[in-house]
Amino acid sequence: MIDHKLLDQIVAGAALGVIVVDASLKVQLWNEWMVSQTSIKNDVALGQELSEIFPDFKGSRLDKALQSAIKYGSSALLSYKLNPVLFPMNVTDSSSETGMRRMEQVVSISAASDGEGNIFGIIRVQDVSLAVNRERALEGALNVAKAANDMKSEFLATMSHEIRTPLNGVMGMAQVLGGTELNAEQRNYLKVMERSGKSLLELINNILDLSKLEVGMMTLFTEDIALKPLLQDVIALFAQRSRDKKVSLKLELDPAVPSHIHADPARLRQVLLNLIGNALKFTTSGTVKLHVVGAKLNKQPGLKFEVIDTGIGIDEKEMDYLFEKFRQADSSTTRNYEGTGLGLSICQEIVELWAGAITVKSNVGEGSTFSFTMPYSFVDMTELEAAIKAKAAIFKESKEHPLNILVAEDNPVNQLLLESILVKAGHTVTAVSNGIEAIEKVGATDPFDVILMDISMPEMDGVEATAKIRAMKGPVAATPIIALTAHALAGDKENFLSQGMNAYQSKPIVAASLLSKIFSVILNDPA
Amino acid sequence: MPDLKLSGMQKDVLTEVMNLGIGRAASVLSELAGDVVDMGIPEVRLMPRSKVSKKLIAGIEGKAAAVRQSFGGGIDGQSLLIFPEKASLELVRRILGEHLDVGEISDLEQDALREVGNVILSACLGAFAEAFGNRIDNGLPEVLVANSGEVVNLCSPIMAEDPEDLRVLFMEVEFGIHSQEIHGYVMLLLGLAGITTLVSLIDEYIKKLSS
Repeated sequence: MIDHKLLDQIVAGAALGVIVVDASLKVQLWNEWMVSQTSIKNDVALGQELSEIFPDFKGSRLDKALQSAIKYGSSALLSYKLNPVLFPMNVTDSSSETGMRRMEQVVSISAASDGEGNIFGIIRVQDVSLAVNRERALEGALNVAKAANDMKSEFLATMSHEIRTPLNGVMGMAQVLGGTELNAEQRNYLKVMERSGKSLLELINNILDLSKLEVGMMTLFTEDIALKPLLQDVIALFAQRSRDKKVSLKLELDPAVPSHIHADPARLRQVLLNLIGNALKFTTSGTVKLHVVGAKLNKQPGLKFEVIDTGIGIDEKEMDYLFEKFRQADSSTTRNYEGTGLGLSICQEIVELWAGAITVKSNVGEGSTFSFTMPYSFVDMTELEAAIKAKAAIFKESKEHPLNILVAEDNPVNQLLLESILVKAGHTVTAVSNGIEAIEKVGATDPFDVILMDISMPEMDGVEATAKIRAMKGPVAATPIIALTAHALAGDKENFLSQGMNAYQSKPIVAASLLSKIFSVILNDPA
Repeated sequence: MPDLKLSGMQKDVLTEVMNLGIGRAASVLSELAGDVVDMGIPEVRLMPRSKVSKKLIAGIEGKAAAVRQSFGGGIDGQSLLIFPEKASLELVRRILGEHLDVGEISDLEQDALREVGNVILSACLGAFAEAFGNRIDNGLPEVLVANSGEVVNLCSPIMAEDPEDLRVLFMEVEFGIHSQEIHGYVMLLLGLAGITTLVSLIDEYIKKLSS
């Protein structure tokens, strides 16, 4: 027979229970650890069947595994994760009311035979409570860290938002100042001001995007888009910079890719601007190429975009940190190439938002290739073509007609800015500073072609004023209204549209974007 | 050494037996996962060890994770279930119904991987033992992580045979779980004696079937 004492000494300290049963499933060995954990003495356990000791054993996976080990020689391992309940034993747990809790175990079962051909089943019971505790603690810590990070993101979102509003005034007035008579020195100062303002705005927008992405507040706005013009636009934005750097910039679009797709154009543009901007930044000679081909993604049609450069490349050990926030390849690069290091994290988060993947390949001194995938859905072409034709026709007509515009905005700086943009574009502007005045004007004068309505105003806010206008009698009730707001949050757009507004323009106001928004509102509503 | 090849009939019998085993494993895993787990082995092939390493290098980019179980008693060898390292973690988390967070495999998940591997390998060897009427004693599962070309080599020293003489019953296995497919490999590493015994057992089985 087996020397129990020797065996116990061999496995002592390993927190390991050992049970040996013979071919008729009767216990032949019950080690010291089993005695101490179950309080069942050796002389009680020996000779019994396991189902007599543990009533739940009968018919369990353990039982089946033990029988098949004895019969066929097969082995089994039952892990805690897949079998939370194995042998009913307890461990001390100070956090529980009873001071005890069920022991988490890993149980292995195998068979062996002695010199005389007798077959035995061997059961090893391992206490993994410590590992389970560790994992639970880790999970808890992760949740706490995530909550803290979410709070940080929310704080950043609020801060960036608060900073954007006054910055809007600074930038806008600089724009207006540029339209006045200035001498060469002043114009130079103004340029520096505008450039600094622009990079500050870019940084704030990035932080806002990232915080929104992190707390899951960013959503995709998909629409039908003509792919080639979008890509050409993006390339065109970098034309001057690539000429200045004497780096050639190319677009390679696989002819097999459909001309129109349904996807989020703004986010696609954002990712491409980031990647191409980066590629140009780190390339001093050679080419930067945007290569686009079709790719199948999880049975959905998709596109693969590759931005290939012949720049400085990325060191292998820096690859892992590439998509981390506020991080450039290394501190020495930061000195040579300005930037916040937020761009790639944003790209990654956006690409993951639409369930694509972003990857990078690079050789130091030879260049880098950033690729990402994007799923899309197909566009009904006949419907789209008709819409485009109709739009183009109306646009041509209305472009030649100056519009009569009402601006409701309480902030005098913003009011001045809007007026100067619109007047410069040839339109007539009436400005008021709250909702009540806006309603008076709409009721009194010739009908306005469009109303720009700030959301937060004293006396009566934009939402209420819009409701009042919509409730008026006659055709004025249908005057197109564009909401103006610095609340650039996901869901705002839908919110304002549901409250009777026709469109939504986020601040800071950019002249080109505002003018095109005005036209698109007029075009959608030709009456 | 003699040129060992399986006849078409021998291959068919082995493929059938292995699918019987893998089918049983699938039903156990379905129960554990609380969702349907499909598994299939399209073909069983016999190959020299060196060729297997080349196949694994081609099929698995980077590191491979393997669950290994020794077996003995009549036919001696090593059984292996091999995946790309990432896919092994994915499979375990899918079976556990956990979020597919990135990160390392934890100790408890590694135990679960051992269990999944054990279910599959024991079922294959069990079907084998049952069909050919001999007992096969299985060792306990163990997880190995290595470059894909090295996994099989890691098992060779455990075996008494000259590594050059080792033969592998090589099977690609496809898992379907939560409408995702994961590819892996099941293989039995055998010495010359093992292969010879195996072939004669298959022939006996065929004879019994045809008589």
